[in-house]
Amino acid sequence: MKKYRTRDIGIQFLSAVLILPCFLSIAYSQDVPATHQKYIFFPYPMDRQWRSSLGFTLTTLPQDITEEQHYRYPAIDYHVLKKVSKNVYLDGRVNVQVFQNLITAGIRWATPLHNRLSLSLGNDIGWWFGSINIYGFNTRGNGFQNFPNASLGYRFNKKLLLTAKGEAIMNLSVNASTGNIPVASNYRLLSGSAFTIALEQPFFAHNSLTLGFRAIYTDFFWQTWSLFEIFDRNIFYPQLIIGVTL
Amino acid sequence: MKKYFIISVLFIFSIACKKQFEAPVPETKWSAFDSAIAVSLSYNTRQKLEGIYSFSDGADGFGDFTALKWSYHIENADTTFYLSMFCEKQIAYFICQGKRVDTNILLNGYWRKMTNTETGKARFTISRKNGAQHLLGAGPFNNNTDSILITGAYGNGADVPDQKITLKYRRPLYNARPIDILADRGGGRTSDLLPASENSVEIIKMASRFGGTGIEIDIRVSSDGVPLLFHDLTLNERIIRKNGLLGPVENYTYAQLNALVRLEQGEHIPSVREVLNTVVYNTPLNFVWLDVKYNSSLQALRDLQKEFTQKALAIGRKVDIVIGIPERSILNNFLALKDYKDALSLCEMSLEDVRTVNAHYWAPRWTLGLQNEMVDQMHAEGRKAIVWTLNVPGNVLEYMNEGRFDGILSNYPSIVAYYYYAKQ
Repeated sequence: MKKYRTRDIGIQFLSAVLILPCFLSIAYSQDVPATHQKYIFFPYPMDRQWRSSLGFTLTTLPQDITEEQHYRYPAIDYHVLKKVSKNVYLDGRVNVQVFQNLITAGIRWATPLHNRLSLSLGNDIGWWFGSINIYGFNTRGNGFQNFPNASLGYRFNKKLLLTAKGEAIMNLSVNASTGNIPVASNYRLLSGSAFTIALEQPFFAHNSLTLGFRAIYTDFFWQTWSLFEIFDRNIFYPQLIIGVTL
Repeated sequence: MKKYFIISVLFIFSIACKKQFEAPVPETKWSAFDSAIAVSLSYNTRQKLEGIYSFSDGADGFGDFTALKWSYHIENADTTFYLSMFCEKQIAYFICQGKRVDTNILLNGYWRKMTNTETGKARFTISRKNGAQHLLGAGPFNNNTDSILITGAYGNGADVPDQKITLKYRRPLYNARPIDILADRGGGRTSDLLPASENSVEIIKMASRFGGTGIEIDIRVSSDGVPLLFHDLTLNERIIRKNGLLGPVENYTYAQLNALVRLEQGEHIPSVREVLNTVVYNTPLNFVWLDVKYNSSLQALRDLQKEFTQKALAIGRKVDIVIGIPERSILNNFLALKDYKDALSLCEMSLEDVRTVNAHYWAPRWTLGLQNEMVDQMHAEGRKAIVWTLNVPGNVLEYMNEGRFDGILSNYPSIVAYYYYAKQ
């Protein structure tokens, strides 16, 4: 019952055709090892104890479910990594929109596959929570999600790191209430998936800039909890990720 | 190694396409049903067929019980009757037509699950020994001694039905305390992938098949003062096909909108006159909530309300056409009507505001709670209360069983219908 819009396929193919040659053309410049660079998404064994980034994510919520409440509020995005051992590190992330927020924590195992190619496997547990006052009635919600994930990284020279990441999205629980009335929910455990492309490169004053795009397909995206939609189909949520690795 | 990476990136791009969801109504041709010897069912047979049935086969897909209820649609001199089967699981429903072939009854139609895009064909038979004899006979149906067994199958998409369904009659439909089951936006939202666009004439013709006894429609006005149906503040691709027009519908004349704008499924934006004409002459709907979304004189709407209330009465129908008052500015416009106290209205604001405009209905949003004491106050004053917009099945059930509202507005009237008719 689903089909692909040729326009979307065309745009994505064109993006690939335009972007990839740029990467290839700069691949013959100066080479810099990954350990000499700052990164937050790039899947590579950590050479220092801590690394963090600060930025924001901007997710477009589809008008099909937001209708006239269609908005694009960014979420502050704080991302931190903590080295555990040579190939293992912890990954923590906080997304803040004040009235609704997401905290995730997980573990990664990362290894180089080749001089330029590296891989990580991991799993994150997330807890979202929100509270909105609608016409004097406090509407509250929270829930747990799980994100098994795998990332593939390619290190171009000239300090450019490219990461492709795939995640499964699992809804462990969704709890919401309006006033003292619980809002019934019946979301799928296997809620969908997300695919991210992230670019990381040096930025002002020894920092590093992250530019990412995350394509989310899910029947429940945490930022829509207050809309109480019951669609059991994977809806597309495009997300822009911008951050500075400190 | 680089090429593997490029292949991986291209793979991700290829799977990261935006999917467009559809739930098309399947073609329902069935040679036995369409044969020359198949004849329409009588009123008596249709009435006896209504009731609550249990699933002996098919419960996995549709739940334990279903409520069978007839509705109709009139087009010129032809009346088509539809048997809807409202189910609980995944807000599923069947919509069938019925015919008699010899001593058997055939039901032919399709099913849909509203929480997703699943749909397909459905065919049923009631054989002579399984109850058709009683149903086709002139005598009344005896709940205690007579039985009905409906056997059939459903299929996915365009597939021939091959998954078994068996329904057994259990009890009559509940109707002890009537309520209004109101279908939002004329029958349902465009985003729910129904066969017609929200706020269109076509969806209003289907509303009773989805379980609605009435409808809510969103009213705006064109630049030349024609009240019309449109939900959003501006023209946008959620509702209409891309055409280059921008901004509020209020910026365009009705002739411009009629000529240049098509709703998502190809219909034109209907005027309120056209829609009320459809409700009165083509459907069994008995309640129309005109949800006013524009801030100017309500006189044209009031005139239409009077005209079509009279037209309904003239053909022996009682259709409550109510002017909705959602906020202060519209309340002031309503009070500016010379005969506002006589105009049937519905106020979403405070109880004081309800009394100020002498509204016949109070309509709070569901997130404000059951509010049973306030509903009782309204009843004591001879008014009614309708709650909006309940979509989550668990909450529909809660409001049905613990609330005292006289009506429920929902984007999924079939689940409201199921919980209502299945009450004991």
